[in-house]
Amino acid sequence: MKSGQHGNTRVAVSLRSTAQRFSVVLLIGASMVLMVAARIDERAVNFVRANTVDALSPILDAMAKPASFAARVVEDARGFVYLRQENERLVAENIRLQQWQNLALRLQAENNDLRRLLNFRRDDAEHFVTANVIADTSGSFTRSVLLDRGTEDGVNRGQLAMSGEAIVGRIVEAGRHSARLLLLTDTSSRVPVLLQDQRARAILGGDNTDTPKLLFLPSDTEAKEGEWVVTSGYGGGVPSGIPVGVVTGGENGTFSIRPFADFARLEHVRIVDFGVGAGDLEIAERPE
Amino acid sequence: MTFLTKLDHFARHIVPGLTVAVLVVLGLMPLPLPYYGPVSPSLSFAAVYFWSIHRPDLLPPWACFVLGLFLDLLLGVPPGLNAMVFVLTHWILGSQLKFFRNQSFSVLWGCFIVICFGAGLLQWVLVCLFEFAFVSPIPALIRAGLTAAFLPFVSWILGRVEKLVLPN
Repeated sequence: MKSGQHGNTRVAVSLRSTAQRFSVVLLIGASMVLMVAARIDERAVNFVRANTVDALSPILDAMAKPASFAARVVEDARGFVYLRQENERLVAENIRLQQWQNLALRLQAENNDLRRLLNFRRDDAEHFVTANVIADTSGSFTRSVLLDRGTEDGVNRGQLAMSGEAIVGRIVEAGRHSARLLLLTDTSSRVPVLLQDQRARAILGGDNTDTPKLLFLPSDTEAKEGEWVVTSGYGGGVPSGIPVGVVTGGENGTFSIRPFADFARLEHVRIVDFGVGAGDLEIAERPE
Repeated sequence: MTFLTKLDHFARHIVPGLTVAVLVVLGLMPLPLPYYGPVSPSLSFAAVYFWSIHRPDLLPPWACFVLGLFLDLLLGVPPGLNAMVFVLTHWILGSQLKFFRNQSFSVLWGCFIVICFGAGLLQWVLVCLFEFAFVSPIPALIRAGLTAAFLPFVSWILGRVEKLVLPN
């Protein structure tokens, strides 16, 4: 009797371990299938992702608050320490900016006159939405953040996001109350750009480093260090002339760009819907 | 068993899974530290390691899969990338449970370092395959190192949780 029970237990244990091994194989297989399926049907995956993030966005939002509060405290403390230097720096900058403002106003007036002469139609951005960054989803293989605005606030896939006057990235997934912003530095980020001085077109492609690269630059073009890179407006959706970054150097004909946006300190971004046509923004001049 | 004891029993038994889920969400907190995001340690992975050794019965393979998938969906990486690593880790530890149970913390930590780098390399190979591109493995390796460095901290907290909620 006892040995029979023993035997039963042994069978049960071995059955259980076989079932467990089988389930592990099944789950690993499911992971592989999911990865392949996501590659084939990106839309379905985006839908599931957007809904997951949507459901979780109130929690992420609540959690982002203490983080941003702590950041502000640190920033304030640093501000107090360097108050005097900061004040001197700001006074100097103010004088310089006033000169630029005068120039900008003069140029804007001149620009308006010339536009009137040419009968130029001005396509301004259709609307702006300001969104808070509620989660940093950057990892070893991706560079993205989650925002607390979604389709109900007018945020849609494909729209550009800006921080200050510079581009940060593009919305790749939008739920009802949340959206995923793919940063310029992500491997799958592609933005049509232009070397501002040479007017040479290229594509800015992220590679998961802090300095995305210029792709498809005409072979006879040498980007100069310090040259500005702005959007080219090619491909539609993105207006031309929005600052993106500055050329930092090149190796074997590949040029690196340092984006103007500070990705480490993103708290709010402005999502801009330019509609299908190109728009234009306030003048952004290169400081000397 | 009354309804309340049943509820209590259930609540205690979902604690391991819940702690992993909380660490997944905590890991997404936007910290204003330069260069932090790409190399931020995967605390949830350390938690999967901890529970797979201490209470594998309360964190079955399917729970590891679901939690990994949850992390994948939030991170926006190919779904299944972390799910696979979680399930594999659970299985490796489960198959050698007798060995792992009788080890000192420093040995467990050493094993975790090896597993972290293995997982980082596996994920890097998979991402390169699925993106059809060469992606730099360096952030993944730094992340593996940082994750390994956080094991004592995560183990200490989860050890407390285990003592408090799961006394048996």
